[in-house]
Amino acid sequence: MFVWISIGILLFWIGIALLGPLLTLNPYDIELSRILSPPGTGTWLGYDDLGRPIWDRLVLGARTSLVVAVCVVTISMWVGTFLGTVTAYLGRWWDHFMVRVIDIFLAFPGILLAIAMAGLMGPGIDNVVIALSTVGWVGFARLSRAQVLSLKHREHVQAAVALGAGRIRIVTRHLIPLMVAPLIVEATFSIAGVILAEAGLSFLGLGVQPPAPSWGSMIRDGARYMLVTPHMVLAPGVSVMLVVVAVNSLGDRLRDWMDVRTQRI
Amino acid sequence: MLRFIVSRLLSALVVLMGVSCLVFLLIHLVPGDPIEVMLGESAQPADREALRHALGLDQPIPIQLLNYFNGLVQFNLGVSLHSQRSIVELLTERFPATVELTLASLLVAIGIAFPLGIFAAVRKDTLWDHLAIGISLLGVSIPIFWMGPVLILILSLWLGWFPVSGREDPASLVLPALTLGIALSAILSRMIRASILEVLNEDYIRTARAKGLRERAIIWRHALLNALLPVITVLGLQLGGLLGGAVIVETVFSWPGVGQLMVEAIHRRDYPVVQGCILLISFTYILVNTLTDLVYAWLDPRIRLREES
Repeated sequence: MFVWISIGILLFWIGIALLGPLLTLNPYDIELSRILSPPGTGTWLGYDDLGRPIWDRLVLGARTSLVVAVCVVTISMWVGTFLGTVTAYLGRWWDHFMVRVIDIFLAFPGILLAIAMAGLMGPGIDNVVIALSTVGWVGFARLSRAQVLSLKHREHVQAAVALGAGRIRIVTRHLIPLMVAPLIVEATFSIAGVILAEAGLSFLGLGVQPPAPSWGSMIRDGARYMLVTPHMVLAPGVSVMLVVVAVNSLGDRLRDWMDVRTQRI
Repeated sequence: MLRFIVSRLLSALVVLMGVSCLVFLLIHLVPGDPIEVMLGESAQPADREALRHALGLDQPIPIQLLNYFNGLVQFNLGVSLHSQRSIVELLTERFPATVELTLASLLVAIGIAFPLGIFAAVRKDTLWDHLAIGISLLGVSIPIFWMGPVLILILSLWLGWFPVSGREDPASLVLPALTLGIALSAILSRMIRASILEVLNEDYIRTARAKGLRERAIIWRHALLNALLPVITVLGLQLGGLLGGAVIVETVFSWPGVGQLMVEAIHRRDYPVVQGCILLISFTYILVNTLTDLVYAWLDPRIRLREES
């Protein structure tokens, strides 16, 4: 039951993000007479401090978070898995070097490095993607390294080596297919993390620039008028929360289903 | 034990150096000419050259890196472009507030997570367990920059219990610490639950049951102590989440810590201060983690024996 609700929320999120351009939205239209009007007056989520319809901006914000999440997770997964797998398979000083690099990246607490990078590179969606991918690849590299280390001495790999299979063939045919399940689970949790991080960067004013909407910047704008119009901060906040809860609970379910034991229990 | 300590300290040193190099390179991420970004396009060429010289950016990169490390070991991080004050001085002024917030959040997290995690594990698969899991799922998913304003709205604007922001009296610590602590308690309570459930499957628990011990004695005396040991390491690692989250929470509550200083510096394009803030926060994190590892090894001999062999 809960899984179906989660899937429903995610489909709705992806749906409005993809179909947004087809709907007639006016996220940038300013109606001075409707500034801060509560839900129900003209549009069902009300208007913001500049008289722009909140629902229309929410839909456009969904697009921002989806684009960033998909880009960051795709880039991080490819880069991280490639580096983690190759260095772990080659072993020796390649692996030692990778472990050090991973340690150094993990030494930056939370999204601190992403905040600093996005701040220094300047605002913009492309810089947000670069900053979050720079932080995100490490998790995939660490996971794939651990997987390769535990898989590479298995019998089927040794059999392949004995049969004269090349390194590329062993990695792509005999290792990667066994790593797919944990990688998918990691990617799911990573999507939730990226949505939160993107909104966090926008909240700090380091993400998408105004007037383009993002859930994070909508929360920041809304916080200023919280006492007068709580809906301005509630609507984007509930949206982020619902999507992240849905992704996380789906991740939990996927992990149980695929029976992957990772650190995050 | 000595060998373990030395190897752990050496690897911490390597990480510290790597982190310093990365932070040094950050300034070269600024698109185009960082000097132009900092001073604006209308700056006089003479001023630009003066700043470039003052920051050492006119030197070749290896020399810059050498100068940077030289300053680092002498606790000299340069001066702020905005206030012209020494960055080390700015950081020492702000650091206590961040430490205070982080420790208070840790206490909040422990206070919520331990009862919740233990309760969920002991009553596994009951309604209480599902409820505890649900609460922790919600806690992981609520963005802190949203929970902050919501807590302000309810607890300070509507109920008037705590101040909205600032750091004037002790009561102003409550809301930021709650915001940051609740987020951590969600992750922590899951870890505690999982850790206890794992221990309950161990042989010595079965032995204790076979001896006819009461369930309460088994859980409190045999399971808890062993289950909570791994949680110490997790706490050390989660401190990273706290320190990273502090940057956002400090901004929400105008809490005058290092995180707020960093966000202010980013908006003022005061890049040397940004570098200083990241260095301080990451160094703190690395040191605390190294310490946690040492304490853990001291408490649990299995760890150091495994590493030494």
